[in-house]
Formats: sequence, C-alpha cells, structure tokens
Amino acid sequence: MDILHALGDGLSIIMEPHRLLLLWGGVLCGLALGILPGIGGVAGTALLLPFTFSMDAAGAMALLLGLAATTTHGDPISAIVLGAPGHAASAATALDGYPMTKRGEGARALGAAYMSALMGGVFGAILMAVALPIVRPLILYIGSPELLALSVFGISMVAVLSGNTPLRGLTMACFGVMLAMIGSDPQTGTLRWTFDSLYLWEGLPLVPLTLGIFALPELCDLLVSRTQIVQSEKMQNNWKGLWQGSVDCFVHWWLVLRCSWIGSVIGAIPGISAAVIDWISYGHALKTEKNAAQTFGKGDVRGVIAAESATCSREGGALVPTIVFGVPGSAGMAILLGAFMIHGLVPGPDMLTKNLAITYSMVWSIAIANIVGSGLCYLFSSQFAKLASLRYTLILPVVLSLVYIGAFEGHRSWGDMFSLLFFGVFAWAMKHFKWPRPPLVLGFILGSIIERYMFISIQRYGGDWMLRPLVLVLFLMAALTIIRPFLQDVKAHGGFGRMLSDFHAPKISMVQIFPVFMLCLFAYMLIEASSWNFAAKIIPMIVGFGGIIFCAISLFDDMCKSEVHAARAEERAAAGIADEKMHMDIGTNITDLSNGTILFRGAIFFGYLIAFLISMYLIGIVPTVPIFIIALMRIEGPEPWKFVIPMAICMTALVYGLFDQLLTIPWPPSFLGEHWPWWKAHMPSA
Amino acid sequence: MNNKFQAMVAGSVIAAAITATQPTATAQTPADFYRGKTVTIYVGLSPGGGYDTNARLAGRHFGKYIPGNPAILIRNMPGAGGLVMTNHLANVAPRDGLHLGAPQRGVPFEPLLGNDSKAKFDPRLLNWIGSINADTSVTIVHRRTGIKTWSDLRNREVIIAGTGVGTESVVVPYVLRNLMGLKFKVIAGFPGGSEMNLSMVRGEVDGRGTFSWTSLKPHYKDWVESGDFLVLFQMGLRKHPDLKDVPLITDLAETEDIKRMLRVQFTAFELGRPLFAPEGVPPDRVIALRQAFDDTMKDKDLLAEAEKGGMEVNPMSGLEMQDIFKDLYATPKELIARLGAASVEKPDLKVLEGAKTGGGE
Repeated sequence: MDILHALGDGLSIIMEPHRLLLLWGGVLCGLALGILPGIGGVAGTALLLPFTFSMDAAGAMALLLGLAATTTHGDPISAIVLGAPGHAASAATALDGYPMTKRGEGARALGAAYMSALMGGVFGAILMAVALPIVRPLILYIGSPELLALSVFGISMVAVLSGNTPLRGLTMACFGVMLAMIGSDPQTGTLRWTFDSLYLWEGLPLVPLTLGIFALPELCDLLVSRTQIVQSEKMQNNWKGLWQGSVDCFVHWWLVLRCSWIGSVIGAIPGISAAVIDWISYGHALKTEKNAAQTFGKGDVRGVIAAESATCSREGGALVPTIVFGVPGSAGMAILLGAFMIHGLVPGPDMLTKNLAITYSMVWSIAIANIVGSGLCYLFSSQFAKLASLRYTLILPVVLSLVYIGAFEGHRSWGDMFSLLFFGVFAWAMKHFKWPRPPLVLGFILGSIIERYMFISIQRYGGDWMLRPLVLVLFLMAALTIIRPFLQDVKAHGGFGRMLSDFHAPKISMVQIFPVFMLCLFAYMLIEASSWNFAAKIIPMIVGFGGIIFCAISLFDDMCKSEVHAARAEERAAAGIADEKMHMDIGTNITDLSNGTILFRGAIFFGYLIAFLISMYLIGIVPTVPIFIIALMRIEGPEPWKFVIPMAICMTALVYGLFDQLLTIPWPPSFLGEHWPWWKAHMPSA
Repeated sequence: MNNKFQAMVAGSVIAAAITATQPTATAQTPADFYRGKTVTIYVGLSPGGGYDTNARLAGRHFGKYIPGNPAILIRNMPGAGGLVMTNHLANVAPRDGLHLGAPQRGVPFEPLLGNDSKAKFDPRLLNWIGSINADTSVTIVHRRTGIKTWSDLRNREVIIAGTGVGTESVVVPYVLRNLMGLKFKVIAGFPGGSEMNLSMVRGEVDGRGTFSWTSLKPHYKDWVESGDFLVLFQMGLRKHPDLKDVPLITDLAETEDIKRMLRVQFTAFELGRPLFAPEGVPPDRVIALRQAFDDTMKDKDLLAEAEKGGMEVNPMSGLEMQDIFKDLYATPKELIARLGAASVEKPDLKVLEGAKTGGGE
C-alpha cells in the first residue's frame, strides 16, 4: 500500500470532529493525572479503558493515546520550579531547569521544556511514521544479547553522568545495581536482601525511590536555607521568558531532533523503562554539545531541551512493538493492547497492511496529543513559574503532603514510606557530600535488565553471543564512553604517572563518613549474599566487589591527594584553562550557613517527616495532613493564620475527597483505629 | 495417608470452621460494606498477557454484581511466577474482601509439591471465588526445528522459553523431560508471555512448552494456520473441542503412575484463570463474591466482549475449585514426591527412580 496515501487516510480518520474531541479528552485526563501524584498513567489508562468499548477503534485509540502521551507532561513543572521531579522521567530536567529557576529564568526553562516536548513528540511521531513499514526486521534483529548490550551501553553513560567524580559515580552505579537485585530472583527464586519482609519480595518500587532521591533533598534544602527559591524582583518577565525558551528550541533544533529520536528508539525497545531515557539523552547532549561540560548542570537550557524532548517522544516509539508484535513497549501500551483486542485489531503484519490507515491514525494521535498537551502546559507556564517566588513555608506543606501520597503509588504499604524516608536522608547526604545521584538511578533501572538478559544469553548461546555484530558495536561504544572521560582525566592531570604520584599522609575529615558508610553497607550486603546459591549471587557479588574497590579508591584519593589536586586546579584556572568538568548534580546554593546549621536544620526537616509518619501511624493520614500543615506553617514561619487555616482546609479536603473518596486508596490501618472503634468508624483513613 | 497429614487437614478444617462462624466486627451487610469502595484484583504477572486480559475482562463487569457495586481496580504485582502476589494477598493484604488475587494457576500447587518455604499459604484455606475458564495448554515448536510429531521430541532437543523458576512454563517441560523423555532445554528468566513470543518469532528459542490455548487462539492462530508453528500435543484432563486431532499427552504415558502424576500436574490447566480471596475474609462477603462471580460469567456484555476479543468463557465456581484442591491434596505422598523430583532441571534420581523403571524406556 502507498504509505503517503495511508498517512493521509490516517490523518483524515483522526480529523473527524468526534475523534478529535476524544483525543482532547484524553489529553486533559493525562495532564490531570500527571500533575496529581498517586495515580499514574498506567492506572489512568486502565480506568479509562471501559469507556472506550462503545467507541470505534480509531476513536478509542485517540482517547487512550491522548492520555498515554501526556501523563508525563506535568512533570517538568515541579522539576523545574521546585527542583523536585514528580517522576523519574523528568529527573534529568531538574538538573539544569532548577538552577535556571534560581537565576530567575524559570519561565524560560518551562518554555524550553514544553516547546521541546512539543517538537520532540512530533519528531518522534515522524520517525515512527517513516520507520513503521520497515521496522519489523529491525525489531526481530534485537534478541536477548542485543538487549543486554543496549543496557550495558546505557549503564556506561554513568561515566558521563558522573561528571568530575567518576569513582563516586561508579560506586553509586554499583549500589544502584545492587538495589535492583533486591527481591526474588527470576533464575533461582532466591530472596535477595528482603530482610524477611514481603514488601521487598518484588523488589524496591521505583516511585518512592525516585521521590526520595530527587525530591526530598531539594525540599529539605528549601527549609535549610529558609528563603524562597528566587526573589520576585530577580525573576524575568514570564511571557518574555517563555518566548525565549521557545526560541532556544528553534536555535537548537538539531539537538531536539537527535534527542527525540533517541527517545523514540529506546522507547521502541520493550523492557527499557522511561526513567532512563532522559538520562541517556542528557548524557548524549553532554558528550556532543559544544562546551557542555562547563555549563551543563549550572542552568544550561540545552540540558532541559535534551531531557524533555526525549521523554516526550517515548510513547511514539513504544507504540511500534505494540503494533507490530503485540509486545508492549511500556506499561501504558500493555493496557492499550487489551483495547486492541476489544476493537478487533490484531497486532502483527495486518496492522502494516490491511489496517495501516488505523495504525497511522494512532501515530497522528500521539503527535497531535503532544502538540495539544504541550501547548496547554506552555500557556499556563507563566503561572507555574511564579510558584518559585513563594515563601518556603507556603510551598513545603503542600508539596510534602503530595510527596507522601505519591510515594504510596509504590506498593501501597508502610514500606513505601520507609523507602521514601531512607532514600531521602541518603540522597540528602549524597547531595551535600557531592556524590552524584544520576548514576544510582541508572544502575537501579538497568541493573536487573542486565542480569536477566545476561543469564538468558549465556544459557541460550554460551559465549557466542558476544560475537554478534550489534553486540560488538554496542560494547565498543560502551567501552569508549567509559574510557574517554578517563583518558581526559589522565591528560588533565598531566599524565598517568603524575596522577599516581604526590601522595601525602592520610588526612581524616568529617566528609569521609559517607564513603566509610558505603563501604560498610557494601560489606554487609556481600556477607548476606555469600550464602545464596551460585546463580543468585554471582552478579551481586561482582558488582558489590566493584563497588567496594571504587569506593575505597575514591576514599584513598580523598584522604591522600586532595591538596595537590586542588592546587593543580587553581593553577589551571589561573592559566585560564576552563576544563574543569561539572559536578553532575544540582549544586547547593547554601554557602552562607555553617555545616552545623545545615545539619541541624536538615535534622529538623526529616524530624517533620518522621513526625508525619508517627502521626499517620497513630491517627491515620487524613487527620495528620491538617496537623502537619498547621505545625509546619506556624513553627517555621510563622505564617499568619489567614494563610494557615485555608491551606490546611484545602489540602485536607483534597486528600480526603480525591485520594480517600474518589480513588479509595487503601491506607494502612492506624493504631488508634485498631484500638478505638469509634475513631475507625468516624475518621477517614483510620 | 499418614497421621501428620491427617492432623494437618483436620487442623485446617477446624481453622476454617472457626473463621466461618466468627461474626464480622461491624455486623455490616456486604452491600453496606462494598458501597463506594474499590475491590482490587491483583494479577501475578505484568500487564498484557492472558491472565491480565482475563482478569480485566471479569473486572469490568464484576462490580455490577457485587452488592453495593464497588469499583474494580486491576493491579499487577509480578514476581516469582505469582508467588509474590499470592503470598502478599494471603499474608499482608487486609482480609476484608477488598483484595482479591488472580494468580497463575500453578501457584496453588506450590505447597503440595513440597515448596513450603516459599509458598506461605494453604490453598485449601484460601477462599476460591471462581475461574473464568477451564483451559488446555499446548506445546508448540517452530517448523524450522524439523519436528513433526511429539515423539520426535525424544530424539531431538528443542530450546523453549520460560519465565521464572517454579512457574508452569519451566516446571511442565522438566516434568515431561524427566517422566516422558522429551528433550526440552528450558531458557528461564523471560519477564512474561509477550517477551517469550517475540523471542520465539525471532528464532532465539524454538517454542514454548506451555501455551494456553485460550490465549493462543485469539491472538496467534495464524501462526498455527500458516504452518510456521506446530501444535505437538495438548495438556489437560480432557481434550479441548478445538483440538480433536491433537494427542493428549496423558494418553501417551506408559504407566498408570506417570499418568496419575501428569494429571496432578495438569489439574492446574483445568483451573484456568483462578480468583481467590485470602482466608479470614468474612464469610458473608465470600458468599457474595462467589455469587457475584457466577452471575458475572453469565453477563451478556461480558459474553459479547469475550466473543469480540476471541476469549473463552467456560467458568468454574469457587466451590468446585475448593473440592478440586481437597482431592488434589489427597494424592499419595510418594507420587507427589516423585512429581516434585521430576519438576526441576537436575532431578534427584533416587526419588524419581520408581517412575522411571516403570516407564519402560
């Protein structure tokens, strides 16, 4: 069939007014779901599915794809404005977006994010439209060894994403991989590091982990610094900023194109989660863009563009394996697959011949959903940008309540709360001790995929799989990605010999607590692992020993070489050589406070969180919300009662109405409710 | 049957009786209880596969028939072949009738086959609600293997895909290899059915040891019709009406013992797509759920949807399932031990021996 013809047919199908209306409906649902925590796009798609039965196939797909394509569109708002990404898919956006906000350029960052999302979504759809008819053999070519090699290549990005602290990055990547191994192992059924808790059987859930790692530290520092994120007089004009952000996207259109294609191609590979796409794309931009090493992470608009254009082109890619093989490319697509069957569409070659017009109508749906969704967000961005100028006592109560409920999306149990808190404290320490956080997440997501497909590859092919051409190419690329920054380092230090010289007697300092803690953690995990059977422990053991080695060298380096290096860095700076690589994380801007004050106020922050948990355990989450809000606003501010009371009432109403009544989230039982029936009968969530 | 086993059964019957006579804490009717709430059905696999689609199909209509008309939410909790989900439901989830499990049908066999350490439940004590269809499983291989009939499997090795250890996709091929001499090499560790299918199409594996006929028929019938894949034999307690010309593997077993062991193994397929509530759920709610399930299976919209999607509806009631588990757990221990030995990659030959010498190989 003539492809252009089918493309036109697809467009005319989707341009039917009632289908366009459905598409808009889906987009609105997707945006709402994306902004509110605790539901997620997958559950949203599943909830909408029953309403599509009476629709025709193209209409139903328009509604569902509209939703699926836009659930991540709300994420950049909190990532850029508050530095607290609501979902892992926009964690990389915060890295440059948040510093821009602090500089007063929040509107520009949001404008760039949404314009690149829009363009990325459209570019992704174009790639899919062109690739669909020829993609079948390509996907068939990607076997288990190729999936393994791709994940290895993905994890090699750690080298780039570790910035100027490669050893710390590698340590964290190893730790992330080990975290991914928690739970029951597919090869032997061994329960790894589950501490006899069923919560961990299935592994650590991603949502509380990412909220803890990326959101809590920024919120904590907001309380520590006791200011608003940006003074309103420092903020640029919002509309001007938005326009500037869009112009940035047009100037860097080639970057948008590359990153969106990275997003769609990775999205088309089943099994690789959305949460790594932004990092791989960000890493790519960091490697290829001019002077990126100096400016990324300090508020470079290209960082925002790279992350967002990839994230939003993912759904277009995920559609491909779903249509062609019936293998869903993402969790949302899996539910879409159910909708296929209801509407008599059978994934497979038919979708590329007989039903090609419908297939293209889906591609169009995704493209249009991206335009509409990003457009709407773009229009409202000027309002969102203003959030950054609010006092921290107004932002924290609301955002923290939502973070708690959002973490509940994990396994809906107390374990989610503990994970959130543990990783919150852990990541806050990482941030202040300057250990990069992105490698941890990359290791966490790719670690289990690598283990799974390594076993399958070895069982199936013995050692031959390593000689497959694509595997070789990917391994080579991974090796280059790892070795190049290392060689640059060697060069910067004036050769390998000088790098290994200039030791002095070890100097102990407080910051070394963190690597010592990591060493103990690794050692403990390895001791636990030593009793498992071979297939269950081989990968965790290798990775664990790797972690110990990297961590130990880093600690040694820290103790014995820091002065010489600092002197050399100064020397270079004096000579005007700006080759210092970025610290790959959101930097702290708390410079005027002593370490003691930071530690004290950080303890207060986490004290609030623990108090929240204790109260939630005692009386239930719904009555805890107003108490928490009033306490936080009065003690920290103190905010006037005229703000406190309405805030407490609104948030409680939101939590009660939306999460308790509408979504009927199964809250864990409370102590008071268990022992005092009246409380249980009269108090929601008790 | 030994005394310990009898005591165990008696104990569980008493436990069940105690829970059955306990009044509910609040003396609510099921309708009062369920009104405005959400019933969550946990599926033990990632979304998109047969268990998931069936649970979603039932879930869409189930709420209509439960008194109080609660909303139904499907949640996927994959891991360890459904054990993670079932253990979670049986031990952690509230026993209020708002949390139901749709496990892989092999899961209730875990405690029977001597795997107590990982399975933390007794299937006889769970409240079985019903099953949407009694199923038949088939073994399929690609034609490039050159295999024409089931007996070719005795002379030529085929590579098949499986998910986690302990799931039927891994256990059944091992049982057939160890009891019937069929040369299966199992590559375990695939995340789910769709990944195994893709792997099969791209030629990484030669086939699948267990493929539900009810999920093969609607989605992949053209694989069989085009001749790319061959259905070698079927596994179940009886032949499926669609598959009259395909041999039933239990008919091919050489001895009565082997036949009996295979029937124990294949009872799982007969259970189809089981649904349960944990033990300790107030009995009036269990009764309401069972009734609602039976009514749901007759629902016109559900049947029409199933027809449209090419899915089968051939329900089994919760009480029938409860009986099946009672019978199953009364199988002589020695046969269970042999079957258990046969279900792993490297069987303990001493335990397996009795069956082998009788196998006439």
